Amino acid sequence: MTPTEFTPLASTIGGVRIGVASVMLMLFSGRIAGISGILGRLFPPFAGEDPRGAAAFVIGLIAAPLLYAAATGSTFAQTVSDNARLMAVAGLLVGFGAAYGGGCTSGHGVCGMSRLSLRSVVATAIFMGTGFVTVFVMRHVIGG
Amino acid sequence: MGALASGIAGLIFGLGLLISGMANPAKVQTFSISSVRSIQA
Repeated sequence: MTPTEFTPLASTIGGVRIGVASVMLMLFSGRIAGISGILGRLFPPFAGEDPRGAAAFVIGLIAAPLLYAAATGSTFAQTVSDNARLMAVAGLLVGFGAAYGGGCTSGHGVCGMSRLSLRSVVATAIFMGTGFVTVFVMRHVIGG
Repeated sequence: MGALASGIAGLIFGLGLLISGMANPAKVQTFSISSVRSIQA
């Protein structure tokens, strides 16, 4: 297993930023900061609903690591599987799940939970629980 | 104004993901394993 550091301060600062960004988006554009939904608004058949706002948000997301690297002088840690087929299948499953469930981790987990939406609480509990079990099975049952 | 605010929100959101480590799949997976272990304990 890849060890990662316990970073409560960084996690708190990061979480506050995510929360502030979600409130900002809701305040100024009246939209939920659901990343899958925002990305979906850039492509048909959902394109047309505030495409400029959606594009601006995505550009901001893409600019974030560049700004981070420029400000800190270092790149951030990111470990991704080099199995392209597995990543493609996983991406499709995540996309299908987000579309079918009406939101992803950000839409349900960040925005929905903070709005005390029961639907989002249930969705988040299910996808987090499924994620925990999937990681456990992949690493300790299949992966050995 | 709306697009500018959306862009700034995206930037802050992305920085939040980076700073918290949630842009690193390895850290997210380790969090998942730790959660399963704490349930088992």
